[in-house]
Amino acid sequence: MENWNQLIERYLQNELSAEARQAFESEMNKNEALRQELELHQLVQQGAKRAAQRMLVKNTASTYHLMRKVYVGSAVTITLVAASLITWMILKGGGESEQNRQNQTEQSPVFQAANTEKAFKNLAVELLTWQGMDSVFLTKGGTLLAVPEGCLLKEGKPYQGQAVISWQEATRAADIMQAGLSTTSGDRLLETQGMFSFKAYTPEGAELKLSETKGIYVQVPVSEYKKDMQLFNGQALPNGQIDWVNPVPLEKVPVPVDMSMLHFYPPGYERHLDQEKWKTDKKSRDSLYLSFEQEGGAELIVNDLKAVPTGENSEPFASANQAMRTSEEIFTDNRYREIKPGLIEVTTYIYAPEYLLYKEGSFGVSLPDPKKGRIVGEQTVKGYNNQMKVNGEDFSYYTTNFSITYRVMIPQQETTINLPILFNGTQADIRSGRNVTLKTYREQMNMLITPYKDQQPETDDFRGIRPSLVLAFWQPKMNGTILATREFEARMKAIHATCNPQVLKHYLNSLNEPLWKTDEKVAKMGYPQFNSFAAERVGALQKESAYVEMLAEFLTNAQKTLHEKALDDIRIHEKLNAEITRKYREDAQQNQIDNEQRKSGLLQQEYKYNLADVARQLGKTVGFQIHGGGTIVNIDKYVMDATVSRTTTEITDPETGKKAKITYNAFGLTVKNPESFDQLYMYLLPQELNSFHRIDPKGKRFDYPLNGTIRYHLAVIGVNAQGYFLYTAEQIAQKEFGNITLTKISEAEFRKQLEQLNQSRNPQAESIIPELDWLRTEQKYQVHLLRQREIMAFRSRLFPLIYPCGLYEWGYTPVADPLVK
Amino acid sequence: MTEIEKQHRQSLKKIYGQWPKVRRYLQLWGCDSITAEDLFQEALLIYIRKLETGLQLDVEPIYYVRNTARLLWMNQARKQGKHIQVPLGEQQPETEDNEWLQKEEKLKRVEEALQGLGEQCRKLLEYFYGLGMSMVDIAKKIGLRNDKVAKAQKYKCLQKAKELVLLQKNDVEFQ
Repeated sequence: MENWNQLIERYLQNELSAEARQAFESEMNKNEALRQELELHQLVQQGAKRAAQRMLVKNTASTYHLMRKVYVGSAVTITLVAASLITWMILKGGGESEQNRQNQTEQSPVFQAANTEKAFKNLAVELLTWQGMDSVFLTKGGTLLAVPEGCLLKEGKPYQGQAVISWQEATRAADIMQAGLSTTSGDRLLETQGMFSFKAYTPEGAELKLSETKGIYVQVPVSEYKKDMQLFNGQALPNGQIDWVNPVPLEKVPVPVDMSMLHFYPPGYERHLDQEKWKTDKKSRDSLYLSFEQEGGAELIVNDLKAVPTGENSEPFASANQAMRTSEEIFTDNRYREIKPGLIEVTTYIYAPEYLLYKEGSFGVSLPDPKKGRIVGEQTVKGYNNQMKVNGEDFSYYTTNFSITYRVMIPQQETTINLPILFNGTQADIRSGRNVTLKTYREQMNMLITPYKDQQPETDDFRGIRPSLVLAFWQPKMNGTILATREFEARMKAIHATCNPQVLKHYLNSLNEPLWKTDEKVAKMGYPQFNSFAAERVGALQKESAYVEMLAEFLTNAQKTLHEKALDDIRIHEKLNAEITRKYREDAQQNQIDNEQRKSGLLQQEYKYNLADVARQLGKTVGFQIHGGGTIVNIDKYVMDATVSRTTTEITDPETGKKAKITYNAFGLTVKNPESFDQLYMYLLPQELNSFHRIDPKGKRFDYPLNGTIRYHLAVIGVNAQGYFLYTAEQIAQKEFGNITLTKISEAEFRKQLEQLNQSRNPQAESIIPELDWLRTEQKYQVHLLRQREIMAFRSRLFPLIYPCGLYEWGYTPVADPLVK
Repeated sequence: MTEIEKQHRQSLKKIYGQWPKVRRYLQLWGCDSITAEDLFQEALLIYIRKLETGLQLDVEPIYYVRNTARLLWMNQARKQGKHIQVPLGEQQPETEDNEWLQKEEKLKRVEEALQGLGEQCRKLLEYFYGLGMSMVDIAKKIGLRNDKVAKAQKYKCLQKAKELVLLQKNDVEFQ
């Protein structure tokens, strides 16, 4: 079998001679095994070939897939450049020591070294002895030099021990010129406020280097604070000159201030309270501020900040349109999105002062110049209508916020459109936000079309900074942190205007960071107004990191506690109000029942009286039995009918033919200024009956037919939040009383007069006291209602100061638009 | 690069560019994308081999490849007992008694058997029978001393290969 391998191979490869091939083929015809072997051989060959061809296909596949994965961009790595010669830092602890200069003899090695190696050749050297601990020096030139422990290196290792500092400074023009110092950086001329040289040596004269991570702190007295001052590094040139290079911006050191001196309320809040002459103590104002706490995501200070994408605008549209507003001005804020090129949908939010509430009218938008753009379709105006339950009843109050949504078609070349807001057709006196700037949008064309998705300040879409978050950090415990500075106080005003708690959280989470860093971070979030803060380059107030962590935890707990307490207080308050209403309703219901009972009792009384009267007229005896229930005799029925309907009726005795008459005369009056009263009742106190009538007004009139044989005292009572109002008349003649005026009286007097009136008409008169009690309840309730309305109005004025952005997104839902294909 | 390789490379590249279409097509028939790629490659292989027998197409090669892949899928699905999902607008093609495909399938099995060979043997056989390289070149490429050594090695490899194929056949028979 093995020899066949070769044979078959050569046969298949055509390497056999003609005869050999013939011999082979004839052998094959005879030999089954050979045939099979040949087949097998061929199979192997073909299999191997196929495998090779498969490789080709596989290679093509690899190439295809590889090409699709080629990276287009590459990550940019930023390497940090090492710090320059002098770095700005805060002195860590350490006491201030007095000037620590010692005179070195000219022969000492240090002095020799210092003098020969000085940076500024023609300027005197000042030598300072450093003991190796945190020290502060005041130089001859008035410069403060803070040299912390560990800032010097000997041969690369931290040097601990005595050192001699060789200090040169040139702050005055004369010195600079004398020293022959240049004020150029490359070929740029610099304006300088001082040039300094710091060198350090061991007492033996060996040079020490400044550590790149731990520097010294230099505080230079300047005649004026100039903006954009930078720190340049001095590089010695071969010709002995110094070139100033590698400018680094100076950091401004924030000044710690006690928390009690700072104000972090929303802008306008305090001024408004001052105007309303509200309580001035901080506790009350804090408490009031906290009462505006909203339910919802209790913000945890740590760990819930999402990484802010740097260099990207995560809030594409708010940036152009955020600004601060005060309670006096109408302010507009625009949000917009481009539905398709040239078609913009704009929503203008209008925050108007309260006086607009009382003007009837509507807002609208119009573009005067059709070349610049035209309004397409409808304008949808939405009012931000607040509905609350006050004392269980619905109470509406309108905050002064509206929005108008409309679409504008503008030509492609326009980049800004002016959107004047009209009130009642004329241009409202509005301080509007910035114009809709389309250029900014077009540059961000790659961003999502729907702007609202990306900008999520919180998961529940809440737009506002809750009081608990502010009050949590506004505590003495945060003294000494970057939050307890005037610089942060200034920023807090702008933070309030963003309505974005994430912004505040960035600051709260970066207690040890330089303030300018956090400013920049926030600016990148989509609030370019913070760039101006960043330009101030305010540095950090650093604390021990363990302490900072503790503070962070403290903040979280404080905020949670305040939040819960605030909500609890709100609930308790609501419960109390609900209780008052419930009690009132209960009393009112009881009064209703009592009233009905009295009315039916009174009816019976008057019926009996009339019946007796009729009996007398008809000559019947007095012992006239009247039965309750059972069939009423005709005469009884006539009398009942007459009493119920209070109409004059003539009754004929069917037996005798005699006539009797029951007379009712019209009686009515009107009250002056009826709308000034919350409750108005007319009381008729009949002399001949025990009970009394209480009549409700119909429209502006009181009308009640009086029984012709009864004498009445009259009392008209008005009740409102201000008190009680009364009119009385005794033994009134039945006529049209006309228009009467109610006089205000005290509660005591009110009760007294009414009781007297009641008693004087009939000693057995039913007591009027329960009625008076009811009136008192009514009056007190009106007082309560008024107070609640006042509180609500007060709060509604404050509300837009605390939540200038109106709490939640106004819920724009894109609808299929026939204009947009 | 050998002539054969050069010939095939261009057309393969062009056809492979249309792989997404084929994938989508196969997905309509219920094939997942991983299996689809295997079948696509198989179909490509079948195609270039058919070309060598002098196939004349009157349509774009991609259609041939696509239909071959579909056929392979249907065979595979049938064997796996999967239900074949006929997409809308298509009809279930008649089960072609495709002789060529059967032969290819058989050779595929041989390929699998040959995978049992050591790398050197495999490469040797593939270069010789597949790419038609000369023994001299092969010897250089694989790292054998000269062409004679390579030739001797070839026979050894052939023997081994045959044994493997026989083994596979027996396995199949026993199944």
